[in-house]
Amino acid sequence: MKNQDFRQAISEVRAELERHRMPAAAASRVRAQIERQAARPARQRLPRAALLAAGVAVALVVVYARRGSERALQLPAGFEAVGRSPDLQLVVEGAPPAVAVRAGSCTLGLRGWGRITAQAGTQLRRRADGVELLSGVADFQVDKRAPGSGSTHVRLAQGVIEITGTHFSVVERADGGTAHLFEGEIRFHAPDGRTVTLAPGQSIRWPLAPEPAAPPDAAPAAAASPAAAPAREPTATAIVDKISALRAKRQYRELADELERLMSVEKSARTRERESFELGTVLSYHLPDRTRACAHWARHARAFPAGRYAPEIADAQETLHCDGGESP
Amino acid sequence: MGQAKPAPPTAVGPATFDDCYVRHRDAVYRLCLRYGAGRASFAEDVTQEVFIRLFQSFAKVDQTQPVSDWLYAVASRACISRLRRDRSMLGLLTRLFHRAPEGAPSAAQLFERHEAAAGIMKAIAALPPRQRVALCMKAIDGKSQKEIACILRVSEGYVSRLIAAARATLTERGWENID
Repeated sequence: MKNQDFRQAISEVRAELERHRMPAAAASRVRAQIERQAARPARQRLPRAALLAAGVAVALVVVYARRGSERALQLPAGFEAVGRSPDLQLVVEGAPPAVAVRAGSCTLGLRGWGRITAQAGTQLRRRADGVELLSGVADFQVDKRAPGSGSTHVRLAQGVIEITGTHFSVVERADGGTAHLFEGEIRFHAPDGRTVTLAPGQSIRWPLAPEPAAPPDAAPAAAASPAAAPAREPTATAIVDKISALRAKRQYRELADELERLMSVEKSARTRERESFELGTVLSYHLPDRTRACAHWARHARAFPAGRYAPEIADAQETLHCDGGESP
Repeated sequence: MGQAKPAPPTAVGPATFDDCYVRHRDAVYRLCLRYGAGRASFAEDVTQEVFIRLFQSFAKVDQTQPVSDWLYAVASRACISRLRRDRSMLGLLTRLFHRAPEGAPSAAQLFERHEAAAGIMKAIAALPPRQRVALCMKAIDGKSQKEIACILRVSEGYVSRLIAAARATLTERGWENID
């Protein structure tokens, strides 16, 4: 990587610009425009209206083109494409058919159920009672259930998430996974019968830690508490040290993984917001992974609607041109 | 003011619009040139926009204060708006079909004798508009964070974060000694 002196370069810029004058032709063009403006102030509005009309026309063309390309996606019955990244590679495989996102990301709609934003590496299929997440990282936005219609589920290799109308994200790996709840309420049912109820802002990791041996005279617990199930939070110093070390070594992929892992650990909203912001900046500027970054910023905005980092996030989204295609 | 149509650029108050235009057009043009990464068409358009605004509100501009301060603030904000517009789909299309003004040097020609200057202008041009303007105000014009906040009509804390983010990006791209 090149190492250049900012101070020296800026003084060159300053000196070069200082010598520069507005070209005479440009000065007279501007002068003429000002005089024209003085004579006909009302006509200034015409080009704006034309530009607005052109903008609307371009937006319609883009929307039409997107719809056209989404129709081309072959999806199993029940699924519809809502949004997609330009680099999306998606296949349908297995029986019953599962959607596998090979590259990019997409948002899939399930009529009457909700929306799922799936990242690369995610495999999922429709089930009679909801959705089965076979692997990968997915963000679920489930419609509110009508009273009396019962709950719906996301099935996992090592448990079931019972949903009553909510928004949450899930990371499912071969050896376990995590879920983080943004809104509503979910219940995680472990294969051993334990149930953990999560409130907004809480996370859970599976497989659940083994239950401590109960004292002989203790009554059996009916259900595990959310505080017991999530992974134990490391000390703040240990977190800072680890993150600093990864940053110093410029191991950004490992840093992103570590931050994602830390976010699944229960802690204060303020700390989670900071970690989420850190993760977003790593994805946006250091890796960079535009699709993942845009999806992350969309999740961040939903989790922290009046967040402390809103201006920086707006800048990052602007830099990445996060236009909503990959975020619901 | 308000109901009467503005008079053509003639004598108003202690200085005339013509005086202001002749005296300050180069400074405004240079300011726009650096935010537009040396693009003459960008600088000319924004300079025109700024002086049209000055003409329209000339009678309201506080003549006891240097008009250069007013122009600096308006030009900086106009550059941010224009840069944001340029990054939109419509802005890209407009630039695609826009012809460079006659006789104007290209961005590459402007700094061709200074490799470092050309390099930093390219790096700054890659920053988001607000970061770009805040960093230039600090590094090139030596403005304080308080002054920048006042000009851009944002909080000091936000200016601090803009500059920190710009520094981090430039450091990441190999630039050292960023004040």
